[in-house]
Amino acid sequence: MRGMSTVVCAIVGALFVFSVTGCLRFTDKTQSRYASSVVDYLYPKQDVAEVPTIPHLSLPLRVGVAFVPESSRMSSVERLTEKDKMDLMQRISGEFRSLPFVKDIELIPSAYLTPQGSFTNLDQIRTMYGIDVITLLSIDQVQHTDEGLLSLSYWTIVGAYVVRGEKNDTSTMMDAAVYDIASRKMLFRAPGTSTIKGSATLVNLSEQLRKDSAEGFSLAADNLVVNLHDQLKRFQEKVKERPQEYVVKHKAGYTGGGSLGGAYALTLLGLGGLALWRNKKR
Amino acid sequence: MNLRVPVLTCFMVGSALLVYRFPHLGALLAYDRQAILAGEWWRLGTAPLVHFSASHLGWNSLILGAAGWAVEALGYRHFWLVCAVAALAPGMVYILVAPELAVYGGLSGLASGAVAYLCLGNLFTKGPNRVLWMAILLLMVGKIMAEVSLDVPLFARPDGVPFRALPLVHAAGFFGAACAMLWTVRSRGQDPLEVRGCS
Repeated sequence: MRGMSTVVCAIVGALFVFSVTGCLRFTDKTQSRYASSVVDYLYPKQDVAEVPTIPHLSLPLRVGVAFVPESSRMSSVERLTEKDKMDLMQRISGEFRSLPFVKDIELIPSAYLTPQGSFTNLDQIRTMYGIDVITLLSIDQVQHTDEGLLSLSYWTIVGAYVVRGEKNDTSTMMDAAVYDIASRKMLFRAPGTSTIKGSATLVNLSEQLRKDSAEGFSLAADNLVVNLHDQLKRFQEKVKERPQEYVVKHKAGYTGGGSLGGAYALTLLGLGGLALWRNKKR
Repeated sequence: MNLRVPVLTCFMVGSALLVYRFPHLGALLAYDRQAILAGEWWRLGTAPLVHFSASHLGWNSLILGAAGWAVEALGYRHFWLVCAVAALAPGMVYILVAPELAVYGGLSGLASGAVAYLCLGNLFTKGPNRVLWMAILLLMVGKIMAEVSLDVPLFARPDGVPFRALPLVHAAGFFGAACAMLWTVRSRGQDPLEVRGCS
C-alpha cells in the first residue's frame, strides 16, 4: 500500500512538473532583432555636427552602393552573409544602371566600411572607387515567435515534428539613403518594408525563421526599388525647382540625345499638315 | 493617286517602341563609345532606336511617323537613303571627333530627315505652297543653328532627363534628305515630280 502511494505521488509530482514547465513553455515568446543604422555610422559622435554644403553633381554620376555595418550595441546573429548582401545590392542597383545620368554603379563590400566610420570612411571609399555619390543601405528586421494552441500537441513528442504550432512574424525594413560624399548632403532616401507571417514545427523552427528572414529581405528589397524610383523622380523635380541648392554640371563622357521636343514637334506637325492639306485640295 | 504602305516608317517606329519597352535591348543598341571601340560596331546604326524617356520617344516617333508616312505614302523614292545617312552618319562622326560623348540615342535625326525630304520634294514641284515648305525648312535650320551656338537643347525637355544637345544628328538628317533628292533628280533628269512613283 505504501509502495503504491509512493508511486502515485511520484506520478502526480512528475505530471505537476511537466505541466508547470509546459505552461512556462506555452507562455514563452521569443523575439530577435537584427539592425544597422545610417545615423550611427555617419554620426557616431553625437556632439559633433557635420554641416553639409551645396552639392555639385557632375553628370554622369558614378554611384556606390554599400550596406552600413551593424551597430555593435544592436548586433545579434548575422543573418545576411556577404554573398546575400551582394545579391541584394545587385538586385537594387540593376534597376538604375541604364539611367542616362548614371555612368557606373559600384557594389562596395561590407569589409570596406568600418563601424562608425562616418564621412572619413566615405572619403576613403570615394578615393578607392572614384565614386561621387553613395547609396547607404541599412536594415532593421525583427522576428517574433509565439506558440499557438496547436503547440499542445508537442506533449505527444510526435507533434513537435509534424504539427506547426509555432507562429512567426518577421518584419523587415530596408532603408536607402543617397549621399553626395563631397558635400556631406543627403540627396534623398527611400524605404522598403515587408511583413511575413508563417508557422513552423518545434523542430524546424530555426530553419523556418532563417527562410522567413531571407524572404523578408528579398521582399523589402523589391519594395525599396519601387520607392527609390519614386523618390528619384521627386529629387529630379526638386533639382529643377531649386537650382540654388543643387548645382548640376555636365562632364566629359556625357549622354547626348537627338530630341525634337513637344512645342517644336507640334509646330512642325501643324505647318506640315497644313501644307499637305493645301496640296491635296489643289 | 495610289498611296503606298509606309513599311520603312512603321518598321523604324515599331522598333523604337519595342526597344523602349525592353530596356535590355536599349542597353545593347545605344551608341556607347566604349562598347563600339570594343567591337560592337552595330551600335553606330542602331543608336537612333534607343530613347531615354517617354517624351523623348513620343515626340520623335510622332514626327517620324507623320513625315515618314507622308513620304512613303506619296511614293517618294530613296527614302531608305535618307534613313541610312541619318542613322549612320552621326555615329561615325562622333566616334571620330567627339571622345567626350559616351552615349547617344534618339530618332530625331531620321525624323528631321523625313521632314526635310518632304519639304525638298514639295519645293521642287513649284506649287503654290512653296512658301510654307520653305518656312518649315528654315525653322529646322534655325533650330539647328541655335542649338549649335547655345549648346542647349531647344524645346526638348524629356522628362527632366538631362542630356547634351546634338545638332549634328538633325544636320545628318538634312544631309541625307539632300543626298536622296540629288540622286533622284539626277537619275530621272526631269521634273522632280517624277521623283515620286505615282502620277
